[in-house]
Amino acid sequence: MNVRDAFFYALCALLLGLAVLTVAAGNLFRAALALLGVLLCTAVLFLLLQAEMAALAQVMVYIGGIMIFVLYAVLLTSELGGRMPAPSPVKMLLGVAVAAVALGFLAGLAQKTGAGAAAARARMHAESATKESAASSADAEAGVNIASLKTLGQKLLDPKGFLIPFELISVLLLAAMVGAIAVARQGGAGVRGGSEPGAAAISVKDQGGAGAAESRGAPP
Amino acid sequence: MTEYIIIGVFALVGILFAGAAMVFSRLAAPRFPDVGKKLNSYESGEDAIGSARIQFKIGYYLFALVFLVFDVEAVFLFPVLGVLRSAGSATASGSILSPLFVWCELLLFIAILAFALFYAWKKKVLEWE
Repeated sequence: MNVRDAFFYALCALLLGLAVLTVAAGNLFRAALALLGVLLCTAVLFLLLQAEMAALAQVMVYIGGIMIFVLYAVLLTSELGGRMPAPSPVKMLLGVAVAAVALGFLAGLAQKTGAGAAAARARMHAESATKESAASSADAEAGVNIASLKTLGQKLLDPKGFLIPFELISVLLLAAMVGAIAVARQGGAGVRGGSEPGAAAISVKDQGGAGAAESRGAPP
Repeated sequence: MTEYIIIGVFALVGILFAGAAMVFSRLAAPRFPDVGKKLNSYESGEDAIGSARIQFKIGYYLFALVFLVFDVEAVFLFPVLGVLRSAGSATASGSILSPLFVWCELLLFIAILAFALFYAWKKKVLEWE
C-alpha cells in the first residue's frame, strides 16, 4: 500500500465518519456542519480522480453556496439549540431500506464501470500496438487530462465545442433567480410591504425581527 | 496535482495552528468553575435579555438566493478565465479563437447575469428593511 492508497482510505474513513455524524447528530446545526465536512472530503476525492472541475464545483457550489443556504435555513428556524426528537422506528427502517437499495445500486454500477474501464484500457492498448490510435486515445496515452480546467475552458469557449450550452447557462441561471425571487416573495408582495396577509415569508421575517429586537434588549 | 498538495499542506498547517492554540490554552489556562454570569452572552457590558440564539431575518434568505446564482456563475467563469490569456493560440480541438471573440462571449455571459442582478434590484430584493 503506497502513500496515495493510504491517503485514500484515511479520507474515506473520515468521510464515512462525518456522514454517520450528519445522520446521528441530534443538533441540526451540528448535522449541517458535519455535512459540510462530508462535501469537503468528496471534493478531495474528486481531486484524487483528477476531476478538477467537479472538485471546484463541489467546493464553490455545494460548500460555498448550498451549505451556506442550508445554514441560513437552519438559523431561520426557531428550534436551533434544542435537540431534535428521535425519529419514529418506521421512519428509521424506511431510511435504512432506502440507503441499502442505493448502496446496492451504486455497488453494481461501480463493478460494471470498473470492468468496462478495464476492458476499454485493454482494447486501447491493443489498438495502439497495431495501428494509429484516434486523437482521444492518443490524448489519454500522452497523459492529457481531458477533464482539466484548461481543456474544459477551451471547450466552453469553442463554437465547435460547448459555446452555446455555456451561454445558455447564464440564461438558465437568470430564469432560476427570477423564479426563486418570485417564489420566495409569494406573488410579488414586497419585502417592505409587511402588511400583506397570508405571506408566510413575510410573517416569518416579522417574527424574526421582533425576536431579535427582544433578545437584544433594544429600546422601543 | 502538486498545486493541490500545496493546498493540502496549507490546510493541514492551518488546522494544526488553530488546534494547537486551542489545546495549549486548554492545558495552560487556569480553570475556575462557572459562577454567576460567566456563561452569559456578551452584550457590551449590558445584562442580556433573552437567549443569544435568535431567529435570523428572512432578508438573509433572499440574499442567499441571489448569492447562489452568482456563485454558480463564478464556477463556470473559472475554467474560462483560466484559458483567457492563451486565447489566440490553437486549442486542443485545433480551432483558433480570436481574443475579441472570446471577449464578446464572456461579455454576453456576464451581461445576461447582470440583468439578473438588475431584476433583483428592481424587485427590491437588495433593499434592507
